[in-house]
Amino acid sequence: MHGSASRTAYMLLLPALLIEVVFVFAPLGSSLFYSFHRVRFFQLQEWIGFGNYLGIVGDPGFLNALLVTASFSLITLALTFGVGFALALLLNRDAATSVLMRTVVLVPYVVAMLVGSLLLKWLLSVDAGLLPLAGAWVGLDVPTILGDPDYAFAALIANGVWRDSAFAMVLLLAGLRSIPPSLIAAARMDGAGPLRILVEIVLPLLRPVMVITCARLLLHFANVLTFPLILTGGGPNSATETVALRIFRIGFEDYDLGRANAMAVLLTLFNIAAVAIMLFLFRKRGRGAHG
Amino acid sequence: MTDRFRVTRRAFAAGAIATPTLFGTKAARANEVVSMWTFLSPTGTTPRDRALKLIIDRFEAQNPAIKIRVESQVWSTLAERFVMAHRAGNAPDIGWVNGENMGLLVNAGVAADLGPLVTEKWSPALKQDLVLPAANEWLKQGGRQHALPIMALSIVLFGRRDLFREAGIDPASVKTWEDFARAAARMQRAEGNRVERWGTGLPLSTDRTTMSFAANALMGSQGGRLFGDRCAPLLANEHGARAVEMEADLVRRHRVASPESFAHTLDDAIEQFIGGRVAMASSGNGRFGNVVDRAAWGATELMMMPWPSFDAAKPGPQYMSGWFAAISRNSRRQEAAARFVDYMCGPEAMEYWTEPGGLVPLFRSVGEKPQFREAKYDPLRSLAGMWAESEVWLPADCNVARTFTDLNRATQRVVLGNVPALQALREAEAATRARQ
Repeated sequence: MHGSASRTAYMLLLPALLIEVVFVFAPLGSSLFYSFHRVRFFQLQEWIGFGNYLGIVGDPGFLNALLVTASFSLITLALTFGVGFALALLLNRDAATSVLMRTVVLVPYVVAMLVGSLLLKWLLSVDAGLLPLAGAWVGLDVPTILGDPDYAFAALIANGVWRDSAFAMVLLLAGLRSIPPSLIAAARMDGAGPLRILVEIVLPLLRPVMVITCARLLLHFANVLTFPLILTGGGPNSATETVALRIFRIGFEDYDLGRANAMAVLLTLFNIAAVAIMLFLFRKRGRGAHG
Repeated sequence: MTDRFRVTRRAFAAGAIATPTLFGTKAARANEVVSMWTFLSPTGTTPRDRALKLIIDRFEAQNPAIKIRVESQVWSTLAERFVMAHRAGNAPDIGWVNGENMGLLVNAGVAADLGPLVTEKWSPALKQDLVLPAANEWLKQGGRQHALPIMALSIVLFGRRDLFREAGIDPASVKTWEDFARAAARMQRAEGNRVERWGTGLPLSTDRTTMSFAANALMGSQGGRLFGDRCAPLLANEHGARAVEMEADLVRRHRVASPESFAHTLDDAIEQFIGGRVAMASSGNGRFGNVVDRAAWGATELMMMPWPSFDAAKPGPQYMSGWFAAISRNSRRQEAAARFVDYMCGPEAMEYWTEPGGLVPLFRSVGEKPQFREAKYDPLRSLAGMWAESEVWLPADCNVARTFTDLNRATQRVVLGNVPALQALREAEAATRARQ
């Protein structure tokens, strides 16, 4: 590349780089800096090396939160992806009903997370919600959802699936639309059934979109604060306390920003590792399919 | 010279004279603008919003050189925002801080000393007039007056006279926690499998500052203490175990509180009380007016009850909190801000906080005014009596904000995790200790 051309290329890259530096690397750097300090009552006090990290490793509350986050993220990812993919396949037509249904399905996604979680809380409350009333009409005894650890965890997953399936559907629908119809038509002419078309043509061609969808959803679920904060408050008995919620509480309710930042750094590493593993698995399967 | 020109010239001359006069007047009337962060809004319609507006209007009329600019904030994060804004160098002159976050204010050291600015100028008569002198002392840490009380609040037990009458129970006979559980059971109503009205609301969520019954019972057993020297928590002991077991039994043995209590905050519990879904509930006494306004079952049936205790000899403690005014150390208008804080926390403003604000007067002279002797102020008088008998202030230099939720978590562990009470309390104690 000529000097002037490469200078132009760098100039074009500069705005994006600046945004990355200001909004990603600078906060990451400051988070890393604080994580090695004692920061109490929003005041930087002293360098304590890995003190915050060692405290976290021995904290059963953090280990519980990690387990909750991992299980919530993976289960919700699987269900959200599944529902989103099913919706995308179902609504991948140009009929008027499909367009209408796509709009309806998108409603939960355009509702603010906070509002959606509050709505769900009011719906699920056995003491003051709509679900027990609806249950009573059809003779069903609705259990105490928000006061039971297992049901509350299920409610948290339902919150994620209900809201984010539409997001998955939009991405996957765009992927489906990019598959040339001639390929599908040719496969049909060769006698391939719907399942074979799905497995042999649609899924391989959709792999890049699937990877992006899964990565985006996984990162979202691993870091989401609003669902547990509003819907379940992390309870009962810490059954729905995710790492993000614990970070929020330790940082802004216990006023220990050093430990909260150390947790945030670990959560970032967890995010990177999770996405790397997912990319590795997709790549391996891709090679297997072609090999 | 035409008439038209003459009129124009006169108008111009009048304008030329009037303009500097008007601007001059405006400058003289508001040459110091004091900013204040509060959860109230002078344009709002709640009783306390209206009281604040009256206080500001009256103060500005008396002090034309000072203008108060209110910036409304979310109450639950007001103290944190004030401290963080101070660190960032853009704190308001005055910030309101709730009692549970006093540890943050004191430990962060962001407040100006109100001793030389305000309280040292008070006359001995004014100091003698205080209903809760302990509140002012409580806010004095390390020789510095970190804040002053605007309104005192306590977590009170609300009940309904009509339900007590129906159940044939004299509310005054509810002295122990066993009495309380029995009364709750008799006021509970079920239709088939569905409980239409629970005996009591029980806020047991781990949402911050959700204080439930175990905290009150434990303070009652320990002479009003939850902390020892140097903020060492006093939770994991036989008193703590008895308090947590009592609370757990309300759900699992007596079944007078909903299993959903583990997800309920103080706000949820009082909303259920207003809706007639629970017979008794606890909340800040600041909600009294709100309950009166909204309860369809009749405001006259509402009462504030003394807290039960384990031994019946003395009622349970009134855990005191409230809202307090602090001035930022970085404020460049400390004198003007101090004048307003002095007024807002003084006897004249207290009249507005009581009517229309609906709050207990913090000055004896205000409570004794003829207009506050009417029957409608009886609940406030009875609350003031309960405060005098059993007020408890947790140490202001300790980080107490989430100790109540540590206790709630302990009860959750006991009921849902089948963990022994003492073990659950050791975890709660460790969590409280870690944040000091």
